[in-house]
Amino acid sequence: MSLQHTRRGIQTVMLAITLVGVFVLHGNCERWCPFGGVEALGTYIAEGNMICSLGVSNFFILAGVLLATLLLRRAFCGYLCPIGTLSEWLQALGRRLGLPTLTVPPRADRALALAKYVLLAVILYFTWQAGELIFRGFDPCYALISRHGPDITSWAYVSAAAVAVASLVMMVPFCRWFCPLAAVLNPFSRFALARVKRDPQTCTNCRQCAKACPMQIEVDRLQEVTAARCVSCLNCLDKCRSPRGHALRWGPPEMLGRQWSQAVLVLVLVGCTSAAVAASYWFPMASFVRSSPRPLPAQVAVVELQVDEMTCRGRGNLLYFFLERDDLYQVPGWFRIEAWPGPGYARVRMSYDAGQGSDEAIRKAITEPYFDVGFGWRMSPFRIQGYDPLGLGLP
Amino acid sequence: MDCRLRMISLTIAAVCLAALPVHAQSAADSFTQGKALLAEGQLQPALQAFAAAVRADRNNQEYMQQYALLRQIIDLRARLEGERDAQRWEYVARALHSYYFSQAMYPMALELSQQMSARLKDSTSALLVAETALAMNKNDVAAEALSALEESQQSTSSRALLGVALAREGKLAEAKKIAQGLELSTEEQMGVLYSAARLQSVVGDTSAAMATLTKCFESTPPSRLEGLKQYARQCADFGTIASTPAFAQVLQTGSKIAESKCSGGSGCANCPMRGNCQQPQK
Repeated sequence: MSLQHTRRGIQTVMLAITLVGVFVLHGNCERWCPFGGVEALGTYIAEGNMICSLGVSNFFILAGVLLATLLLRRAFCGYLCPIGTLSEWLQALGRRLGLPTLTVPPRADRALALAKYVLLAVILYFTWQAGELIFRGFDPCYALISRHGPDITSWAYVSAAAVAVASLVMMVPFCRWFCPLAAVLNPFSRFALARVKRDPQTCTNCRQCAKACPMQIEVDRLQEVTAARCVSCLNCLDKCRSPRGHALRWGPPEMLGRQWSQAVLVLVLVGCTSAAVAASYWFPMASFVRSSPRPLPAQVAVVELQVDEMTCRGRGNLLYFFLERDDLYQVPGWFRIEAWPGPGYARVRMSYDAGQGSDEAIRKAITEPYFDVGFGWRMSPFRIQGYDPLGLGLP
Repeated sequence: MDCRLRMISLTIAAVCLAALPVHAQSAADSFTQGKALLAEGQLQPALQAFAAAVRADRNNQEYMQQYALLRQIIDLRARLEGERDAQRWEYVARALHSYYFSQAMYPMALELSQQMSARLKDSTSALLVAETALAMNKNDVAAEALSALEESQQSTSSRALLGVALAREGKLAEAKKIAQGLELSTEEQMGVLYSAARLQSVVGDTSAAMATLTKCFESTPPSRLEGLKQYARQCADFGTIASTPAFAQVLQTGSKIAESKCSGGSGCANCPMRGNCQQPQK
């Protein structure tokens, strides 16, 4: 089995997991996007909450991917990212259809590669300013995983279609020029441990390696590939047909050893991402935390609730709004919300002043309609699992 | 055997399919019945009808919310009688009035607003009396409530509504005088602008009414804009201009202000203030 067979197998498995997660299990796949961790960072530092429907898992997965990048360059892009996989598949399809593969001149390629840094700066500036994923409506990745959600715009589909069409005739155009995650990973990738090494003694300068590189790296002119954009796909190693023995090897810097096998790459990559996923379950930090600005009581009681319609940070704030009410269902004393917003019934841990409040007061405050003097009646969209506020014998 | 099995399966499927619309129909029927009872002021029977609607269609959010709201309204009515705290009494009365008015239960709303006006003797409750009386076309009642306000209690809103009431009573000259005397600042609130536009419309100052209504829509938070436009479409005071293309143009006006607090809408995805929602204030 060639190196490419292994890689394509891993890519296929990852894409299948993503699609099953999105379309069969109806999961919130945004929670596992490393770029989500970058976007959420500003708001998390400023107020301790994740933006939109992102979770702390985004930080764990970002950490895992950064660690993998420090070891293996942008192997995440070459092996795990579903957009990269689809882009490569489309390019293969384009070749089968007899479409030409367009090559961009090196100067233009370098100029276009800067676009992702500009895009990253723009996205982060506006996202951190607004505290919302305001570019989600234009994101080709979101077009893939949103299940045509309520906030998808036609622009997301237009950009996805543009990426798809460009991928038919070019090598991974989105990954090379426009992916903001690539802009985040590149500084880490630049100093990564693993690299492709070329032995000039055995190399015949056939250029097969350079032609095969999806990132247009001129492997045949380098002794060591330390380019940040290398995705460790190992296409170059597969294509190397030097009659004098293998001219290319992949591994750590020369002083640390000669070469590593692809199994090392797969193990490290899977290990980093699995550890990140496991960590997000072992350390289930709340994505939304908010306390009432009242003095902390001597005795605190805690109640765990499963709340429906608690899907995002905005809903977390709405829950707080209902708890902070000043009518018959007012929660007396201090309280604190720790929530894990998500689709379906989301976990909410409520702490309150044991001397003044009660579980029932919390439940009523969350579910009862509230008369807001400056606005009128506000209806609560929340339902609590196992709680029948209407006394109608409903589940 | 195979044929019989197929027949049984088909029968079960047919029964299930037939049951679906019947189930939805009965829930909707119960809800409509509840609404009708509510309009007649029969709160307990309406509550039972809403409960039947919820039981028949447990996933319908509107049925559930209307049931919960009416149940709280019945509770608040009972509390109003015995409430000793003045502030709390006013809060409960305003909550009840808001519900009665939104459900077009105008006789109950008028009675309550008159109680509030007698007890609180303030301009806010007088305005509630006037708004409710105007909705019932009891223009003399509205005019009386607003005329009783002392000079210091009068506001642009109260003068505008008084003008509307007088114009409806045929006292057009007096209404026009009030309309000419209205001073609308650039920072005026949406409610004031809406009342002023009503007055300008009933006295025949169409262009001023259109301009004021446009400014009113621009000053309305996005979450409340559609509701206000719907209200304007049905408002009798805009009757003479409602069918004109210029009025249709005014109804296209968008909000120019940001939401100041969570609108409590159906979801955050399309919420116009989602970028500003980290600090909802009451």
